[in-house]
Amino acid sequence: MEQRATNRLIPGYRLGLSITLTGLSLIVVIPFCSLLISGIQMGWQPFIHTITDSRVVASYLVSLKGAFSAALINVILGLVLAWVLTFYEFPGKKLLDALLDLPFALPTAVAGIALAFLFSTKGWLGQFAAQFNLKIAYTFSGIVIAMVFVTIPFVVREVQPVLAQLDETYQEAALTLGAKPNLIFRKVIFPEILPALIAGFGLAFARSIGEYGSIIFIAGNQPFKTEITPLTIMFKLEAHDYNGATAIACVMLLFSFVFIYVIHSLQRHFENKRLGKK
Amino acid sequence: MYIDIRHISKAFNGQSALNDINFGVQEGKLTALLGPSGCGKTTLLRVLAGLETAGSGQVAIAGRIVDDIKPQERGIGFVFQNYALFRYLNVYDNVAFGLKTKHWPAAKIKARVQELLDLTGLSDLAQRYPDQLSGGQKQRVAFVRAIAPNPKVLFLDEPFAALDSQIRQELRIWLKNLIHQVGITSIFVTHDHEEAIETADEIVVMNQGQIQQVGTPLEIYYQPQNEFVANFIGHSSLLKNPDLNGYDLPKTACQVQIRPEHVHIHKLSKKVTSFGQSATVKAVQFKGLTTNVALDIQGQKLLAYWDAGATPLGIGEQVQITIERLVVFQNNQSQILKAQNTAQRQIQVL
Repeated sequence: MEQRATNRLIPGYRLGLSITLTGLSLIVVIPFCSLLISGIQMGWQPFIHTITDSRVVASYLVSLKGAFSAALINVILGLVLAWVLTFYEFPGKKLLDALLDLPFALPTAVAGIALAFLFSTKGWLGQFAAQFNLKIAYTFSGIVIAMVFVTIPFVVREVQPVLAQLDETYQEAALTLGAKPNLIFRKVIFPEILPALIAGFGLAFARSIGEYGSIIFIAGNQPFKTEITPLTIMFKLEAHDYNGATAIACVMLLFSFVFIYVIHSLQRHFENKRLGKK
Repeated sequence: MYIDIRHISKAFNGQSALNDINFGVQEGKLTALLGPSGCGKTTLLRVLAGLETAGSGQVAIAGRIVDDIKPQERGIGFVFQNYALFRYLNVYDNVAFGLKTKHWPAAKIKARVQELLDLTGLSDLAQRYPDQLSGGQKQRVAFVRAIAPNPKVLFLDEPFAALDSQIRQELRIWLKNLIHQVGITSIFVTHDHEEAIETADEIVVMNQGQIQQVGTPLEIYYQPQNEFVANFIGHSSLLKNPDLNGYDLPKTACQVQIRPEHVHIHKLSKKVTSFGQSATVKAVQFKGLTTNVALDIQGQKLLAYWDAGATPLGIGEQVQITIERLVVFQNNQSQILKAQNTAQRQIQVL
């Protein structure tokens, strides 16, 4: 490693690596370790007991299902948005493009209150949905909507540059080989954007699992139904059960880590396939 | 004519890109569209393929007018300058792509792909992905992929531009042989006059959206129809109103093209009487096989060759030259002239 690095043109191998490791340790690794340690300190028995409590397990499912649905919706919605923003010209395009990043900037609680207001049975959209006997606020759908709102920029911003850089000659080559638009999308364009879609999915999913502020206002927070894991952690904290809170946090940490690792492996798999590495 | 192009014109934002293009390609021939960059040659090729629409005019391929036919249904193969191989498909699947879209039965696809890969020596690379191929290999795969579905015509956009000179040379010959072997009518675009002359059966020289001349490589080289073609193809000198011994040149404004290989230099030291022309050596450039010589004749620059093995020419040296053959351009007409008297072409050595 050292040998290769010294042959590189870009200077600052040692300095760069030192700053990286120090920063990463201070900001990421040490807090996570302390979390793990304090979780383990409470003892194996109570730890297992806390994290397998039926109400907590139900909250895992709500969080995971919600995050998965939201990420999936965002993959489709994000792809369409990225497509439109890349290939079509229309008035207000720049404004829409800028608007898309707003969910990142907005305090999540503000988003939650706005969404709850909009989707409650008295809100505009809530009234509209009520005509079809749909209840959104204070149900699982509400959770998904809040998660979609908060994470929508991820997929768009992952896919957009890939689409913009897509060489048009690929599509023209497919055309001259007799392919119809549908096939061109499936065989030529989709494989190119798949890694970006997976990355966007992963980010949206991970962010959704951790999301708290925007969800609690719209979720209704009924135990076993619409209670998300971050909320159960809050409850433990409010009851001064710090050990319990860290135990559940450890589980969430594990979920997220496993998931992000899987996403990265998938991305590597596609990259290696293209480069012909096994 | 197998490919028939009539009155094709096209403009981009009011700027004329193609201006009343007319020519035909015979079945089985390899034609080059040759011209400097921005002359409209690639645009024309894309119009023929249906990737761009012409403003006006008509294109017929194999007796069928294709103006309203989509590129998918024109029965064409297209090789792109950057090859445009699908990165997530291996060589085999790239070649099979055009057969699958036409719903060939699987066994036939396999046989066809295998046959073509064998023919082009790519069988060993069948499982490789484009990112694992060299430039020359990608070029071959792109070519095989384009001809796999048995298109009626093949279009190639600067097929050798991205390769280094040695591989380019090799692939030119390879492609020429293979195209003739397969017998597919082809048009390729190039800005390289040597490539066009070496590879094509017929050359269409273009400039500023207009055809300058259509002809075989020999015709284009030896009988240029205007100053542009004369200047663009091969090396030559264009002289304005020269006064040359042995030639009856027009007295009014004219341009004369002289190819360096038709200029013979004679050293004065050899004690000759001659019917030639005096000139001064301005510059000498050793090129290996020959030496390029820039001469000054009546204040104008004239290129010539000098045998690399002969006594070197010195800069500033006075020499005698004789000119074997030249082309005169006047009022958009060209005329080939040879030295009037053979005796005047030859030098008498005393």
